[in-house]
Amino acid sequence: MTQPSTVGQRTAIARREGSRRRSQLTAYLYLLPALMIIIGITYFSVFYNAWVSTLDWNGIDPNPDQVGGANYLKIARDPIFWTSVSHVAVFGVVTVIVQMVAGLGLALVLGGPIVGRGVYKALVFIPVVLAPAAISTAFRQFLRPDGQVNDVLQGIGLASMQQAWIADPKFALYALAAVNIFQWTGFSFMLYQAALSQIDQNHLEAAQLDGAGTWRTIRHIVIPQLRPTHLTLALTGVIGSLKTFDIVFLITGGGPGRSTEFLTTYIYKQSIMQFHVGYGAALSVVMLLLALILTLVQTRIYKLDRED
Amino acid sequence: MFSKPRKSRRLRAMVSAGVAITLALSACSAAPAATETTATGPTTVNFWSWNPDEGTSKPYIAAFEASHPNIKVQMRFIQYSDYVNTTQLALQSGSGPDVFGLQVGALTNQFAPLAEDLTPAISKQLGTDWKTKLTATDQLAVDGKQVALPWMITGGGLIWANQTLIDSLKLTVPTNSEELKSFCAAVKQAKKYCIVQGAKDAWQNIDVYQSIMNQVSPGTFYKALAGQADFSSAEFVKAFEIWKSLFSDGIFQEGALGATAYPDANDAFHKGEAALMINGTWQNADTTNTRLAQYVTSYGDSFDKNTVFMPYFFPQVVTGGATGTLFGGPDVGFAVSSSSKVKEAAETFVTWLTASEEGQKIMAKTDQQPALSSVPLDLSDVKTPAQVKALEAQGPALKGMIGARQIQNADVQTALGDALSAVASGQQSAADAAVSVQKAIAAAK
Repeated sequence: MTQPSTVGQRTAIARREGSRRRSQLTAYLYLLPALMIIIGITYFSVFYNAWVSTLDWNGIDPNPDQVGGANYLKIARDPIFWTSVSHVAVFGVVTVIVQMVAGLGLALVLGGPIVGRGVYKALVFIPVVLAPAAISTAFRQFLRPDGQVNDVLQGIGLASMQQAWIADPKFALYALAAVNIFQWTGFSFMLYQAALSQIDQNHLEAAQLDGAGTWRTIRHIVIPQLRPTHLTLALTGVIGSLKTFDIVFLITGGGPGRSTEFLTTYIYKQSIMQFHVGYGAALSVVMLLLALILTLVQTRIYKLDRED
Repeated sequence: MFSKPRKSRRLRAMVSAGVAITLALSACSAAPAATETTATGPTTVNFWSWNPDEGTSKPYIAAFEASHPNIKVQMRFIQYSDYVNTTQLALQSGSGPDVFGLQVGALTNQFAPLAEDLTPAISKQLGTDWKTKLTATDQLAVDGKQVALPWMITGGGLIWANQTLIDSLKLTVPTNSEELKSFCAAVKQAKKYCIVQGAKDAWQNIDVYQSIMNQVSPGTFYKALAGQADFSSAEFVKAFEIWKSLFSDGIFQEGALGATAYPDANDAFHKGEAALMINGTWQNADTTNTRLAQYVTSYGDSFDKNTVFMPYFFPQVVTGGATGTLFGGPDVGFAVSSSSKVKEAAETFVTWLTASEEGQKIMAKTDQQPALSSVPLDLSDVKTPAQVKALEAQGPALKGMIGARQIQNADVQTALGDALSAVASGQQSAADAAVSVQKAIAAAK
């Protein structure tokens, strides 16, 4: 009796084990396509790029020279790299702040009882879904000295403020920031609108009962409760600024001179136009590290904020 | 109860695995062959270039295929902005073209290892004295290897006039800087641009700078690039100052630094918004009825197909400066990939395009200077006798060009482009700009 029972138990255990393994295998098989794409494309490319960054290579020569960290030392001494970083920083600060403020303002205004609210919301959001190439082409026309921006300034009596917006190095970077703000404010608006709908109405009513006016309610109740949204927008905005390429390349090409050079346009020029693929790869690695550092800093701030 | 879902799960998992395996296999398998040769059908030659475009290439390919029934040409036009990267990657991965276009300068130098030496093929076609029969072949040779063969020869150093507009304003095309200033004042008074410049594009700025330098000190520009003269010397600084004055004196339109040569400046010029545009012989087809008819399609019915576009030599902007010189060489050359599986057919196509009377006569009809010197320009479609005379005047200048238009080193080209833009926008002095270019030349050695 004992023996058959033990055998039966062993068989049952073996069956369960087999079933568990099959189930695990099934799970891994489900993951396999995605894993292959992520590892095979994203991570392989990142590591391959890191390896290329240690080469002095034009992208064509079958026998590139191994130069170790020389490309990174060159970056540290490259004034155009530092100029590009400063442009990205200015662009990032201006665009992130303005987009957040404008997005929040619009969300607050359009959250109220306004006639044609749906139309306004659509108008604010449409630029988000437009192709950057289309926006860039349109703004190259708008920002010409005889373009629509200057026409509007003249029409409202501000002719003295007319400029050659993208041809003047004093204004070109800010003109690009304005284009970015036009395109991405709708995104901030949507996130703030969603977050505003989650605010506990009791808090707002309590504040009003305590005699708080609209501005004080916004400042002391609404804005603090939107912290996660502020941080999300700051994070995506900063990373987005680092990655900005299309509007810069299409509107100013990094010029006049290098007055609107960004890291991305500099990488493109080094790698494609000047055939310094190794150096371009090193610049890409530095950009990736900058993005990681900024992400870590912001997520740390977010965590500290939540702990508080 | 449970067997069906389990089967379904297993099926889905197997499909997932199948997708993964397919992905892996497709990633590992060899790229599709660039060329196909069948026992019975014609050999296919894959041809990639940014010039000619698909429309322009049709008459060439049709004529070639008619005279070579065993070879079929598959043309792929790629915009230049994508061309370098796409072609480079494709050639390295073995899935690239058999024949590809190359620009003189940095592109030819960089792509040289990926191309066949065309010396035996062209010697077979034209004989051992082929270098005397084809123009400027040296600009497409690297370390003794004939990387590509020239197709059409173009020269910079011209200024194009919208003669119809200028005549309607009762003005005369200026020939020196004083005339240019008064001409521009009059044109601007008529609410038109004087010279429309696409100064966002470094190549157009470098063309203008070369034109100026060739008046300040003929030939010194090319010597400096070769390391035989100092780019930071007074002549170059003077040329930078004259360049700057074209912006500060209002010769170029306001906001020129934000405008591209194509399409911004080119469109403004053709639509009659500007009187002049600095360009080269590559615009010669603007004198033909065929091109004017195409402009009606491009710009709409408002474009007057009787507009007369007239080429002039760059005006004298330096007192006592020599005018009438052109600089340039092959606008595009064609190379055969060293990894091509149909090299013989590819070489036949390249030598036909560049060195056959049949192929080059098609070129001559477009009023572009053929690389094969025995083929003259076909001026039968040119609109006016005055234009015919102007095009004929280009002949001697094209034969005796003062130097190459393209700069061999990409870093030097970038440095000069940056310097010109920085001087024009007031970010750099002329002297500092000249020093920065000299530094790039020294670093490139």
